[in-house]
Amino acid sequence: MAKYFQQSLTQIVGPQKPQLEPLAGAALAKRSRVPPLMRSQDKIPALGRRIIATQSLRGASTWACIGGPVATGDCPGPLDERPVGYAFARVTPGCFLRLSLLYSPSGNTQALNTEGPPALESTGVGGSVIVRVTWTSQALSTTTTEHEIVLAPSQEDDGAPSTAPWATVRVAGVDLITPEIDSSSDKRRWTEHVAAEVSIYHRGGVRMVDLCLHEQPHVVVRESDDDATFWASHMFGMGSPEGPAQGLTTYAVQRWSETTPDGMPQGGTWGFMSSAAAQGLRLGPALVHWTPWGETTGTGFTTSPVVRSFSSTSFTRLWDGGAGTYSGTGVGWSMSSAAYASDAGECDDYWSDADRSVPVLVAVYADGRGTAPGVLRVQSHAFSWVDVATASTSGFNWYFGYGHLRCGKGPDDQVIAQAFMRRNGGSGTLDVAAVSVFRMGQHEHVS
Amino acid sequence: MATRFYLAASTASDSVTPAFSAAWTNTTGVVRRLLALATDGADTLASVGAQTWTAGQLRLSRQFVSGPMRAGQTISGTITAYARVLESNADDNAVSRLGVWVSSADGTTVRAVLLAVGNYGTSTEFATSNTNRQWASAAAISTPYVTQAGDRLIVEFGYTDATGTTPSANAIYGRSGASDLPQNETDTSSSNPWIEFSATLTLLDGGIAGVVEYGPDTIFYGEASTPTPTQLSVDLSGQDVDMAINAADITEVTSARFNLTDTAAWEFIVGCSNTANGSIYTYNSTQVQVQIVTGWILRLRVNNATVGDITLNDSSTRVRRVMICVSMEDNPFTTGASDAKRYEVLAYQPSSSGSIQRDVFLGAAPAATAGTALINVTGSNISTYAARVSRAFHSTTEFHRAFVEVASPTALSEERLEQPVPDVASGVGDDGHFAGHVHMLAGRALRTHDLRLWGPIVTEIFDPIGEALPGSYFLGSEPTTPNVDTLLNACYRRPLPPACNRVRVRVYVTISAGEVEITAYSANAAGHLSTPPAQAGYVVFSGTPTATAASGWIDCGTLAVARDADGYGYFWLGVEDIDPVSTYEISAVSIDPVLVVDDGPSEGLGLDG
Repeated sequence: MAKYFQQSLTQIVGPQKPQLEPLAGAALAKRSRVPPLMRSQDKIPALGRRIIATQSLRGASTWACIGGPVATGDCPGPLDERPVGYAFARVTPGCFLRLSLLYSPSGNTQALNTEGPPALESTGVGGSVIVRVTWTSQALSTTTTEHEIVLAPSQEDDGAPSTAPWATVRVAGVDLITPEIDSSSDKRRWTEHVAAEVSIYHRGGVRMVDLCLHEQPHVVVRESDDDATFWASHMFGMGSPEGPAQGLTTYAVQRWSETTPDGMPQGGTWGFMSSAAAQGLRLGPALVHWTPWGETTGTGFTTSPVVRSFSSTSFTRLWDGGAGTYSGTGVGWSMSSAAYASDAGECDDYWSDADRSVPVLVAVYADGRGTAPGVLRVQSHAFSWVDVATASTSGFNWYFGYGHLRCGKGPDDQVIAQAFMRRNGGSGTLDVAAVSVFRMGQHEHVS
Repeated sequence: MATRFYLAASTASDSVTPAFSAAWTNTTGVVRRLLALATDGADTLASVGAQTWTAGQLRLSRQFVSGPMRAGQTISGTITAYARVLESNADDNAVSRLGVWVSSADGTTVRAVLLAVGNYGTSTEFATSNTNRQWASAAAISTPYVTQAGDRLIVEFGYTDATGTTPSANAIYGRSGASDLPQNETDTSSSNPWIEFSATLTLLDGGIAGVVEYGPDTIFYGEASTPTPTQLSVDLSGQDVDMAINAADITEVTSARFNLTDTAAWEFIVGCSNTANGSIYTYNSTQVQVQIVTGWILRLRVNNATVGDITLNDSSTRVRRVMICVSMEDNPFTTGASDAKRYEVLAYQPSSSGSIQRDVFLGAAPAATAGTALINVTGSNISTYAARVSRAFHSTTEFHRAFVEVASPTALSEERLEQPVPDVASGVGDDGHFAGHVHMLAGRALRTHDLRLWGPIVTEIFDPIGEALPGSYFLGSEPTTPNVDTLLNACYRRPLPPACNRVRVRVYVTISAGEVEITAYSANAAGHLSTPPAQAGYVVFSGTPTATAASGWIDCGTLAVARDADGYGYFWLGVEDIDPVSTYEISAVSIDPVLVVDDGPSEGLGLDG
């Protein structure tokens, strides 16, 4: 019978600075000095709020949903799902997702009434946001969740925008987005290194200021026979969720049990070392989440993905088709905080002590339209980039590339990442609808 | 990139008084005004008034003095200048004259003459109504000059005549216009006169409000182990223009560099034995005295009375080095004039068992804040090897600010590099092995793991890039600074990692002209709902006043964070359009989480860092 161990991650805050002095040489060796360190290992996965996907105004000068009286092009249909963003993530073990919405009340919707002379008619003021997540477990089982959040409608005539938008912004969200969890085995399955494919839609007269889908630490469950690299929490103090409550491991200094099945993996020097290694492999920041959709660049109220298209066989800049050469002082994404997860063992030798790099997975949501394979390059230095090959396959798919990117030494050390795209042979045009970049340990090469 | 300066009508220059160039033969009633990098609506365009001269004279109209420049800049290339002017009568036959030179920071020394007083325009006679005239057109600087720290540009506008009759002219200066005068001799609009250097020049404060660039401390340090006054008198701040070098001391001469403010700090490294008996530093002879006197006593005297003594350790007949530090600040618990100040005195003898002695004394403030200082270099059985006087003493004629006044805190974010941990296969944690070092190494790794999930809170590329802002619909006004437009289209509600206490905000901005201020805000509610908004140290981004676009990342520094009940922080940008001609675009924003830590001692193992 499987034996599970569970650690709640909801009540843990604060950076962990366990005292090391009691462990220094010439100090009396006492078991009581080790548990605080093991407990602290439990808390590391709870400190992240990695941002997986966003959709904000990004400087737009107007809403797409202008609202007001119905008029051609001013109001969307009431039921259409309009995609505004895609993202891919390997969810941090123990985390699920949480949605935050900062928005202005929604505007008017319209439809064409064909009974009699065709005429546009208002179909009501209102809007909603749909977040669809396809979860794939380590064992490749898949499930999809969908949440629709209905937003408050505008109180102005015909759902017009507020004349004081700052004063009328509202907050909404979903506190926890999870796959269906009925048992400890479900928890274990969905708190491993789970993949999440995210798509976000507007329906109706949405006026979003800032949408943010991020990770929310919740619970981590392991089965005693799980490989040690999955134990990114020590789970020192937790009992069995399906059996009688258990206190702390009896012995802080205790070997990882060699008894299989169902040994005791908690505690001990082996557990300590394995947890540290697993954290180094599995815990790291999400760095980039980009989609081309914008309030003023979306193609009307299209229900198709908004894309950047590329036909040139030379690199051009992803977001505006500009020059395909890297500039460390130009517009780009910040890579600086990746340095928090820069590991000695994973840092490319080239960067040595004066700089850092992190291993990253770059995910590209692209459509080769049947004729146009491509290469997307994410670059953070003249000599540091990751290429992702995209196929000519028709239809949107996620493509992945793995490599190191320079990240500097920390937030005080600004490092910019830019992205470039080109067609790689073939013919015609390829489309890109999203790019996600996140740190990923070297154990998980994705081909 | 060329550098354009404007000619202030009413803004006074810094309180330096460079002599007028000797070539001017008539300087009656001439005043000095600021040579400014930026336009200013408050510095209204104004006529200088009729300025007369005797035919044939070189008549100086006005001298313009810049702020202090950074060191190491080469002033070369050309100079162009335009200003509106009129002559009183058509038979005045008045024409333009111009002189440009560089002075030292205090204005007393001519560093270089860039354009000797002369004719660099078209020699077109002035009109009898205010009309644009060329004062210089790409006039070549024949001898390039490399600036020293604090040098100032001196520009002199003037006139002469071509056999005129009772000549009189009247130029218009100021910088309140909406645009600059064009390069012609026909324009009559109310536009700004200007002078432009083809070289790129920057001033010491960089034109960046809120970011103070300090001049260095006044530091004397001789390379020789026992320097002579001459060797010691080289002021490493580069302002050694006002110190007299005597046989045994260095004495302040002209400026008020060492004048006192509320706070003060003096540091000296001296060599002496227990036969020392005299002063190391005096201010106004007796107002402040730092002494080592008979009995091996370090003494501080203020207003000719002893404030405190420290009997130094390890009295010896051998000469040894003593580092002496004295500081002064307001006494927060003062009960009156007699204890208005708090003095801290410290002596450090590295060669004497590393002796450190420190004491705090209360006393009266020095009776006067203005005076002259003297550093005794030799004599009294004391040799001074090095001296440092805080920049708080710099006079108003020097580039300075008193101590720290930086708007943004300096972030000391944690730098993380994982502590390697042996793996299980290594066998070091097996039964029968000592476990202590495993726990230590894993514990160390733990201390560097805690932020590894922190990623950018905002990293956005605006779309379309470079859309001209603001979109008027999304503007709000910042309650405490009404001139600041807050941008709802650059507003975010984002989760803050636990323990994140600062964020680092950077904004990519392009402006066409003039300057704007970009302010980043953090709060626990959006916009006006926040009470009060937490404001970052704002940073001004100055574009060139020409049509050439300027763009780049602006570092708004670190910003304290605030959380709402759900753990989210709100961030947005504000913009103050300093110059009405400005148009600006924001192309990207990044907000990175920072844990500002106390850079205190490690936890006793010497393993940190």
